[in-house]
Parts: sequence; C-alpha cells; structure tokens
Amino acid sequence: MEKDSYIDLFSQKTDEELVKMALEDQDCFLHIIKRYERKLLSYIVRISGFSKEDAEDILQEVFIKTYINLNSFDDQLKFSSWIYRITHNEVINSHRRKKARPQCVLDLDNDFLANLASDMKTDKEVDENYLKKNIGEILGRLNEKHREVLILRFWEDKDYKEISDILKKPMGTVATLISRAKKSFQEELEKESVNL
Amino acid sequence: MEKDLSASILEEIRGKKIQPKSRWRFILREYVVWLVFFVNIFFGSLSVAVVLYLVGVSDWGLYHMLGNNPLGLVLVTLPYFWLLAFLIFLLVAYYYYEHTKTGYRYGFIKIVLLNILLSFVLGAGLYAIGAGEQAEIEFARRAPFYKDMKVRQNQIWNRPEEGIILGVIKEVDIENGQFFLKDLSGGSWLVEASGAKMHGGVTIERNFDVKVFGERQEEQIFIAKDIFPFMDKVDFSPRSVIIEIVPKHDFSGS
Repeated sequence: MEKDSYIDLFSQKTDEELVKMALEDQDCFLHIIKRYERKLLSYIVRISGFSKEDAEDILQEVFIKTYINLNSFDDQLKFSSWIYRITHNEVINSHRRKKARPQCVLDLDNDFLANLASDMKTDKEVDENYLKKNIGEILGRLNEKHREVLILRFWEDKDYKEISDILKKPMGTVATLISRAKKSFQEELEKESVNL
Repeated sequence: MEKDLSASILEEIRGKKIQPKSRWRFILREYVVWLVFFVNIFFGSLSVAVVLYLVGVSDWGLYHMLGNNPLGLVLVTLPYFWLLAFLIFLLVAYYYYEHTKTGYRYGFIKIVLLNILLSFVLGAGLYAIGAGEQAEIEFARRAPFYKDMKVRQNQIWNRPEEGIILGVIKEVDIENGQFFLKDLSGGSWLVEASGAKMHGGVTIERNFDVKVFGERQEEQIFIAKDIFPFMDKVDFSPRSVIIEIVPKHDFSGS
C-alpha cells in the first residue's frame, strides 16, 4: 500500500516537478524514464525503422543525454517536446553513424488511420485491413521529413507548437510541411488507386 | 523490458558517475551566443554607416561629366566591399540568432528583416556621429589591400587623356596661379588654375585632395576648367609624405 502510494505520488507530479526532483535526487530520474520510455521507444521505432534492440540502445542514449542536460530545460517549452527533440536528434545521429537511410516500419493503429483519413477529408468506407497494409507502405515511401511530421501530428498527437519545438522549426514551416506531407501522401495513395 | 531498461539506464548513470551539466554552462552558452549575435549586428551597422558615408561623399552630381555611360561608372564605384561586409555580418548574426533558445521559432525571412532594420537604424545613428567616416579612414590606414582597392576604384576620376585628374596638391604657386599635383597613379602635374572655376568650397592648399576637370596640354601640364574638392577623407598618399601647412589661396578672385 505504502509503495503504491509512493508511486502514485510521483505519477501525480508534473514533468517540471519531476525534473526539479531529479536534479536534487538522482533516483527520481527513474520516474521520468518510466513515464516516457514506452512512448519514446515506439516513436523511435516508427521514425527510424530500427529493430527493437537498436531502438532500445538509442533510447538509452536519449535518457542519458536527457539527464546530462537536465539543467538546460526550462519552461519555455513543454518537457515532452524537449525530450522528443532529444530523441529526434539522437535518431538522426544514429542514422549518420550507421550511414543508413531511415526505413519505415509502421504498426498502425485505428486511431492513426482515423485521424489521418479524417484530416484528409475522405469519406468512403474501405476494407480496413487493406487500408492498413497500403497506408503503411505509402508512408514508408514518403521522404523522412514528411513521414516524421505525419507521425508526430497524427500518431503522437502533437499540436503545431509542439512539433515546432521538437523539430526546431517555425510553426509556419511546420504547417507547410504537414500540408506537403498530406499532399505527398495523397499522390502516393492515388498511385496505389486506393480510395479512402 | 521496462524494468530492465530503466534499471540499466540508472545503473549506467550511477556506474559512470554521470552528473547533469551545471546550469551556468547553459546560461553562459546562451550569453555567448547573444553576444556574438550583437557583435555582428554592431559591425553590420558600422558597415551600413560606412556605406552611408561613402554615398554621402560620392560626387553623384559629377558623374555626368565623366562622358560615356555614367551609370556604368556609378555601378563601378558603389561601396561593394562594405555591402559585402554587411551581408556577411547579417548572415552570421542570423546564424547565431537561430541558435538562441527560441530563435528557431521565427523563420529566416523574419529574422533577416529584423536584423536589417536593426542594422539600418543603428547604422544611421553611427553615421550621424561620424563613426562611418572614422571607420573608413582607419580601415584604409590599417588594411593596405583596401586602400589599393579604393585607389583602383577611384581611377575613374583620374583619366588625364579624358580631361580629369584626381590627386593631392603638393605645392602652390600663387604668383602664377598654378599648383603642382600628384595624381592617384603617382604622376606629377603642373595645373594651370588661374582660369578655373572653384566649386564646393575647394581649398587650394598643400595636401588637399582635389578633382580637376580640364584639358591635358602637354606632357604633365593640365589646364584646369573646374576644380572640386575630393570629399573622401581616406589618405591616398604614401606614408612618407611630409605635411607642411601653407596659407590658403583663393583662386576665384573673390
């Protein structure tokens, strides 16, 4: 019971409060790791196409860099945007080290499909399994900038400001990127002759 | 997975005695970035001040006297060096601004336009207090390549065959209404000035720079029709010139 209450206490803390606590007590950093490891691992796998083991290595680097740079975090942006930014940069660094082009391995869920389809204002019903299969391939064919921004927007459910902070680009550029990504996706879709 | 991963991360942090970098490092970094940004804005503004000074001392009204294609000649004499310097400082300032904590939020065009506005406002202020003139003179003094470049650029005002010479007055002969001039290329001239019109409050005095329009008569003799001051304060003369002050002479007869 006590242990549960102890854990509950931390789960109720905001990210910013956890950061302050972690700076005073190293063990508190564990709660930041627990809060973000699943999300970030999925994010790394989605945008990089690395295996789970490679993704975990990257995730480890991400948390170590997060800890080392914890004093640089301030409230000018959300902690989640900040840690996603570190993750994004670490994935890019890994690609450079491996000299590999990012491949996309997508395990799509219904929410993502619904979000994307609804945003593209299509209204035909389709075979969901067929859709899942083809949209995964289509997203895999998009360039990495477009793919990542669609994943951040429709999968990670980040708003424009958060994406701006993660990618360190102006909001106008983010809006343009998303617009172009959707257009690019639509063009690929038409090539596949899939009607949403 | 989660237990192993989070535990292994903490183990690594403890094992390698990893500590967060101190806050002061990040604060200092941010200050340095801003400092470099403002230094570049300052020097960009100084470049603007020099451009304003050079545009101010250019004899725009005299270009029509240069004969063919005065516009082409105007383009040749624009202060490209300082315009290029301004562009470089502007781009470096942009780079450093973009690397501040929130600089990425504003986009290239907004940042550059803001920097241009800032540089022009500050540059106008620096020009007003004479910093543009001083910077130009000092730079020419310390950078021989720049002085050489200015000499080449000003050769458009030194074409004796076409009736223009630019140079520094070396000796004045009041009695005969003439003076000796050393032109930009180092050539020596005896200038007959008794019939010349004086413009722009020109001073016929040793070590003053003048532009003389007229006609080349013989080898090294020039009949002046119009004499103008050369406003650029850069010292084009070699360093070994001995300066001697002689009384002013008003050749206009007033």
